[in-house]
Amino acid sequence: MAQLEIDNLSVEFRTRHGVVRALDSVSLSVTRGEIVGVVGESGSGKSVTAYTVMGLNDEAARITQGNITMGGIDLLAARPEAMRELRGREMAMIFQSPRTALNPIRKIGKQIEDVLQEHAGLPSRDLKKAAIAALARVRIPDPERRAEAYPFELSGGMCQRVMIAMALACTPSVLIADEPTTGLDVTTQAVIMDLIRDMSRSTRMSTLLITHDLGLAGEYCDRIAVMHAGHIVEVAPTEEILDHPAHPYTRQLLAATPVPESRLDDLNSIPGHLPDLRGALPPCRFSGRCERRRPICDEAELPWRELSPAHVVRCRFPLS
Amino acid sequence: MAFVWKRLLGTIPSLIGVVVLTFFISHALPGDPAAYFAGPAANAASIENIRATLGLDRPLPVQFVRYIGDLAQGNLGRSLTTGQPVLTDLLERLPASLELSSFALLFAIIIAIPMGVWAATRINGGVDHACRALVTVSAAFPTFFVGLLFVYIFYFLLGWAPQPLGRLNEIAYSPPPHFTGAYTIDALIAGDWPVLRASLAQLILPAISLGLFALAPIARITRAAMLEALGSDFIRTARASGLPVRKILMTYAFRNVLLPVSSVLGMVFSFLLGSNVLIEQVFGWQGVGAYAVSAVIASDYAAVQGFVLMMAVLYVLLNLAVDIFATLVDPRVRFEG
Repeated sequence: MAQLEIDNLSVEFRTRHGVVRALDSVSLSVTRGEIVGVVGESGSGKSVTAYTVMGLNDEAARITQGNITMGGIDLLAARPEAMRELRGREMAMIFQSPRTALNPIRKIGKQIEDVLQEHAGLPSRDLKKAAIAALARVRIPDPERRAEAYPFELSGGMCQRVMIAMALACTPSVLIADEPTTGLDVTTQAVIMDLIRDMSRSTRMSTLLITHDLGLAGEYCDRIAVMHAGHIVEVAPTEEILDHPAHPYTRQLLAATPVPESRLDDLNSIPGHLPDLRGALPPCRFSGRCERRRPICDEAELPWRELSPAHVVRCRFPLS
Repeated sequence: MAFVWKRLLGTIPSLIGVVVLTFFISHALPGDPAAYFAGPAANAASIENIRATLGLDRPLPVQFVRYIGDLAQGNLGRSLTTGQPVLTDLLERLPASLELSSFALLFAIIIAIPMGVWAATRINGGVDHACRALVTVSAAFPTFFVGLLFVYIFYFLLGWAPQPLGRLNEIAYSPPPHFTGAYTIDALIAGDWPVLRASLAQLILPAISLGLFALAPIARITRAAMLEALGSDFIRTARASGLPVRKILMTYAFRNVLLPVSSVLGMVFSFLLGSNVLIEQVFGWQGVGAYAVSAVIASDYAAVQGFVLMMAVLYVLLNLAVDIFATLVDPRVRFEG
């Protein structure tokens, strides 16, 4: 059984301007040691999925159906206090813009100690050593000295390493990385992603990589799930989805992803916008932007098509 | 430490400005000190005579140079009304005003900060609404009006408070031995409990009426800064790390709030020192505020100048204290110097 299992999850937000159906019947699983990418444009529901797993959603969010289990624990049924104890110990999250994600007026060593103190059950005299060890694990040079630094004294890339050290301090079984390299320069991006991959492999951690960058996901993930407007539209092993995308949206995403030899003119943008998630929506939320749309797309229930056991697509007329 | 010196040096230009400004403004005040000093029975010749002895017949620049020369020797001049050196007068009365303002600030902090924090954690909850109501009410009523109302209710109607006639009923009690000049603290040091009790009883109404006015800005800033901190990325990280709520609120959010709150506290305290002028009149408090009011009425130049200068120095020291506190709270300030 998968370490992290999201099953048929629907989430909506009650806002002043109506109910936003942010996630609709989302299912996704991550096994131990696997890296799964969740790819989609802004507003597609990637982050909501992550926050729902962590139990960090806004108060306006309502889970209307579905299940999330982690290592057999039912996360949606867990009490808030139980969820708090799981966060940081069993599941951890890293964010984009690492410099603001760390407390600006607390030494980074102390911030890691706070997590260890809460979850690791170490005597307080060992906390400092453990925090330095956590920094050393993410290959931060001179960790004793760095533990005494404040976030503003470190570069963005270094701060993201600190975030990773903090997330992995208690060796969680699930890591969610929400756009971890956005805002970092390209070389640092590669260093950070290599680090995340190495840590996932060596601790057999299940990793969910949330990104808008299909190229990045293609390089580091075992499987990729493509999200559009609160739906998962396609899930497949990385090579398969890059070479044989089955959903029209996936193909357009690929065409919009820059590769080294492409020129600016070669890049395509995806026509249309994400549909408004309030009010009535067609069964296929992509139909409004789809060039292959037929009348039936707006009528009957949308089926999952299984192209191979590992490759599923949510389209009536998948590409072949 | 170098930072403290730098800040102190930076205050010199503003102090010079204050000296120049107060000199000219106080001389522009309506009223003739010589006439006031000579009394209602004096004739023109005797007034001229007094003017000459006071040096008031000289041109303004000459008077100014003499004023600066005296100031350099720590001589603020002699008060026309009390006949004492202004510096002595001020130092005698300053502890009373500081005591009143400090208790007022303490009262405001004790109520406003927990209230602001609480309101921010439960937006639109009961405490949040109560906070908003109290802020509006306390900001809307002028301090002296609240003071008079309190005297009417708690002294006249209910008889809970002692007569609002100064810092201590000196017929029943003798002031404690002088250490700091603040009666409550001196009584505490001397271990004189009846006097401590009596001076606190005198202090409570003026301190609360003054403190109510300080509640509003402190509670509002605390609430706003706390809301901002709670919505920040690093609080999200702390929650994602499963830190306990208490730790998130206190160690992570509240410590980041201390910086904006402390700068407001500095500002509020200087406002309080200013508002003392009114509240000291209402409660017969023998502080610098009451002294300044009678000095203005008597066109007592030296006393007015001395008062304004002392206030300016206090503001400067207060801001310095806030800056130093900021460096203790926020490492980023420390490095930028």
